[in-house]
Amino acid sequence: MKKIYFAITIMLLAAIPTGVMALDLSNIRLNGFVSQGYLDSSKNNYLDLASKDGTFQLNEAGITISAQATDKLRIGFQLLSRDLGPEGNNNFVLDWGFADYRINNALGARAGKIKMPMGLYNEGRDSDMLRDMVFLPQSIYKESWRSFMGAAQGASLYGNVDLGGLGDVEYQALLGEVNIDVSSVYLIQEGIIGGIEENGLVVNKLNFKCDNAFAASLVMNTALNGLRLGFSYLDVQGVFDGQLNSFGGTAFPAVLEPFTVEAELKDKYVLSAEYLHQYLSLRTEYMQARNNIRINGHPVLGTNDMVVDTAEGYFVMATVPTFTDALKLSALYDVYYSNKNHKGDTQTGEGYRKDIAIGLRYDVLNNWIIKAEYHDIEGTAPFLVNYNDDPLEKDWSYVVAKTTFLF
Amino acid sequence: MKKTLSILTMTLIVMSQIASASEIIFITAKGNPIDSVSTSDLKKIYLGKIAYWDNGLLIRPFLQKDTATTNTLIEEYVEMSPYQYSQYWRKAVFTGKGKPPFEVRNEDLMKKMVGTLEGTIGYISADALDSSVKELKVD
Repeated sequence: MKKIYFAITIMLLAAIPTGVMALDLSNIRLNGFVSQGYLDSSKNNYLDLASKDGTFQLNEAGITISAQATDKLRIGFQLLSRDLGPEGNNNFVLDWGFADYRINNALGARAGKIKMPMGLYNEGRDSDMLRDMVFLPQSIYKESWRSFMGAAQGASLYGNVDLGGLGDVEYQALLGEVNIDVSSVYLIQEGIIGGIEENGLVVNKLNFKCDNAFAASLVMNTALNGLRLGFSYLDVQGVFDGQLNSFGGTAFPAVLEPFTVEAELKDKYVLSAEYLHQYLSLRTEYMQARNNIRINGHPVLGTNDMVVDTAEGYFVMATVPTFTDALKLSALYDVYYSNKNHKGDTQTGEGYRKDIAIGLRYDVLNNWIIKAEYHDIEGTAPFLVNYNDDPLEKDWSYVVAKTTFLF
Repeated sequence: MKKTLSILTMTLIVMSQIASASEIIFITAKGNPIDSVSTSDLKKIYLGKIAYWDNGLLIRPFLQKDTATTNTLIEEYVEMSPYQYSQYWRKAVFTGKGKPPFEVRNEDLMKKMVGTLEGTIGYISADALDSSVKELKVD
C-alpha cells in the first residue's frame, strides 16, 4: 500500500514544471493569522503547569503561501508557530505543505505534509478563526494529542462524487507517517519518560519512529441544504526507541539495553453530523478509539502496559447569533470516557470528563475576532494528572479568552 | 415634512430590497465553447468542488467584492450565508485544500477579466451585459 502512495508522490513531483520558480506573482496567495489567548483554571491546572494562576501561553501564528503552478497543479505550505503551556514554545514548524494534482472533478492526488482528516474539524484545528469556540471539543480533538493527529507526511487521494438528487460525497484517503520532535511534546516527556523515571531510572534518549499513519474520511453533503454527515477513520502506530542512563548511580549492562515503547492510536473512528442554517449551526460527533502504550521486554523495565483501553467520546454543540449577526453564542456539552466499558469513577473523577460550556464569539471586523468562554467540568480525564502535582479535584472549571487577527 | 420623510424612507427600503435581490446573469469569455451551466454546477463551481469544464479547461471563477449581486450569488445559488461562505473558503485556504474565486472590485473589472482570460465564469447585473462577454444560460 505504501508503495502505491510513494508512486503517487513521485508522479506529483514529476508533474511540477521546471518553470515553477518563474511563477507569475499575481498567481500567488499569501495569507496569515495571529492569535493570542488567556487561560485561567480553578482547582486544577489545565494544558499548562500554572494555569491556576492564569497563563498567556496560548497563542498561534501562521503564514500560508499557495500558488496555482499549472492548470492541474497547485502547491502551498503553512508555517505555524504555537505555544500551549509546555508545548510548542513558539518554534516555527511546517504545519502542512504539499503538491496537489487535480486529475479531474472526481479525483485528485496530494503529496507532502497533509492535514489529517478526522471528524469534520481536525484539518482546521490550527486556525482559531475557523471555529466558534477557543478549543475544539476535547472528547474528540484532544489538545494534548495535537502533534499525533495534526498532519502526516505522505500522499493522499481525494475527490468529490456527485450523487444526483442525494447530494455529493467528498472522500479522502491519506497514508504516511507522523513526524514528531519528541522533545517538543509534553505528554511524551511527562507520560512516558516521567513514568519510567518515577522508579529512580533515568532516560537519556528517546526517539519516535512512526510505522504507519492512515486517515480516511467520507463527508456527504446531503440534499437538505446545510446538512453534512461524516465518517472518518484514523490509525497512527509507532515505536519509541529509548535507552536508560543509570540505575542507582551504577550503569549495569542490562539497564543500558535499549528499550522500546509501542504507541498506538488505533482504529479511531468518528461519526459526524453538522447542520448550518444561515447563522445557526448545530454540530454533533461521536468517536471510539483504541489507545495502547506498551513497554516491550526490557531486563529492568520488563513488559508493561502503560495504557490499554478503548476510549469513547461525544459532543453536541449549538451556535446562534445574539443581538447582531457578528455576535454568536455557543453552548457545548462534551463527554469523554478513557475506557468505554467502565465510564470512570464518579467519587474521584478518574477516567471520565464532562464539560458544559458557554461561549461568545464576536467578529469585530472581517479580519478581527474575539472569543470568551466558561467551562464547568466534572472529571479529570484525560491526562489532567500530567499537569498537576497536587491531588486532582473532581469538579473544576476554566475560563479562556482569545483574539485573532487574519489576512 | 413627516410625510415626505416617510415616503423617502419607504422608497429607500423598497430600493434596497430590489438591490439585495438583484437579478444576476452569469458570463464567460466569448471563446469558451460552454453555453450553459446548471444551478447545481454553479454551486459546485463557487465551492471549488468542480475544477474543470466538460472540455477539460480549468474553471476560473470570479467574485465581486461586497456587492448586492455577490450576496445574490452566495445566498441564492451557493445557498449559504455570506459568513458561512467566507468561513468555507477560510478553511480551504488555511488547510491548503482549495483556492477561492478571484475577487474583483466592480462589474467593469469583472467583464474585463472574465472576457479576457480562458475558462472564466463571473456574474453581473442584467443591465450591465455588453458584447465584451458571453452570457451563460442557467439550466
